Amino acid sequence: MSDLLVIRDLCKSYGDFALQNVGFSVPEGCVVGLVGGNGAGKTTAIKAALGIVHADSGSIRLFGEETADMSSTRFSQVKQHIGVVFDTCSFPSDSTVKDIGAIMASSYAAWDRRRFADLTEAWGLSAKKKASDLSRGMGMKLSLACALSHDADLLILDEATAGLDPLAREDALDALRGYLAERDGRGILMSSHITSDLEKIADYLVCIEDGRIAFSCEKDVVTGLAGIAHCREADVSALLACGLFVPGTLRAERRATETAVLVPDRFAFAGAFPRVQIDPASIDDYLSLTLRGDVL
Amino acid sequence: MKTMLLADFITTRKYLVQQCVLSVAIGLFVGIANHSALLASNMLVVMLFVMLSISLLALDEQNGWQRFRLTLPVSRKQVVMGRYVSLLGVAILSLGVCLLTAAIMLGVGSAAPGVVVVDELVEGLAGAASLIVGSAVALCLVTLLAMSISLPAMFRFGMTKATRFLPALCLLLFCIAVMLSAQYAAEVEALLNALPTWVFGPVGLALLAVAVLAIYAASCAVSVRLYESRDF
Repeated sequence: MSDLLVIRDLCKSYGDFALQNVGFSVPEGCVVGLVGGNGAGKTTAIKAALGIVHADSGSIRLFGEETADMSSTRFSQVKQHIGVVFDTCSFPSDSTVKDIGAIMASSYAAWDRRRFADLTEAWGLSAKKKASDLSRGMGMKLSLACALSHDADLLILDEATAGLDPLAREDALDALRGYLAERDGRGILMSSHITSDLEKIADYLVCIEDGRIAFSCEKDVVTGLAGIAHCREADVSALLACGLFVPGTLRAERRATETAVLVPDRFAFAGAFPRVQIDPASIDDYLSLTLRGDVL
Repeated sequence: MKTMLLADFITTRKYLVQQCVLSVAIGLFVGIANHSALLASNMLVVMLFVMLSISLLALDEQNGWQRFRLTLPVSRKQVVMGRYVSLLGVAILSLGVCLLTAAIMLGVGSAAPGVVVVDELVEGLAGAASLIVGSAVALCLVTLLAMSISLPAMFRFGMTKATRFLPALCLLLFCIAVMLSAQYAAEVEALLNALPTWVFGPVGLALLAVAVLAIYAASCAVSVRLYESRDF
């Protein structure tokens, strides 16, 4: 399984913000969820991968080739295999759906007019509708239709489902699942604040916080193995004394009536502390406690 | 580059048609009111060229289109060159519209001089046409020269930021020109007297066109370098 996108030690600084040694990859056949707070650096990392901003240092490899070594012509050829969806419908206001299809057709050698027509029809996007008249959800669907209609190997979505209603988000996720299932050699990088979407579709999670990688793991490590233990003070003391977990690896949040402890293995915890309630961790819980919790 | 040209044309074609039709109407109104096809065509070529260019350049800052366009399989060089070619097309379109307006006025003025008075017809139809074509082409080239100076700033800073300091720059250049013309009054007067016969003549226009197009191409090269180094 090769990597479609590999970022290593990416650094990019602006006035009061800097990406520092950010690294992650998107393997074939996988969905990588990029999470983190507002201003953490997710979009900057994506823009660097797409050549929209120039990295100060670091390595970006697309489909096995170093982008820094590519000529502009070669980079344009590589972009034939990438589909991008941003958080806005990024087309000129007066352009119609048909116009946008024509622009995309002239851009991508593998443009599939039939597929674009099928997708826009299925999602209720009239050919004569202007970009400025599309709702947020319809604009996202148009952008997604464009990204899905040129046989891209890599999809990069930056907050593409933000502001969508649950049904529209489910439609988007279905389209992405269909895209991956169609053939081998495809992958998705998806930046999102809507962690429930990532719980449904992601294989890996990468968290960026304050310009650095906070954690990078398989999604199942979070949702399939980690847990939130609802502890009393005595339970916390017992937990620290039992030696089951390495000191400094647990995160906790002291609440009014309990201390919520993020444990990396809820099954081991349940075996050792059967009387303490423990729930599966959601991505939100994991993020919150990893980034904001107290170290135990 | 084909993608850029198609994108520019597709997204502005309705606006282009509207503005051209409106401009012919305005040009005829101004020309007939002032008895001057020369005034109408000169006004139109600059007004239409500048208006259509601004509309085209403003597209980039709609809805993040400029940023998204960079994710398409086009290089930044192709983006810039495509835009320069589009603007050249706008120049030719503006010239065509202004000459059409002048032709309508000259035609009606010749056929029905009591209905539409066109002062330039005292030179005869051929003389009037020659004067109008010469001045319209010269003005179009001068406007293209102004574009050549402005475009690199727009590609470097974006249209919104560039339009904040370009007027000040134009004012500075104008003040320098006024100072120089005051200092070299005799030479400037001789140049202005020679303009109608020299610049507006075929040889002068051809030389002016070559010079302006060379500067336009150099401007394109500078814009490519600036655009390639820009972060979005």
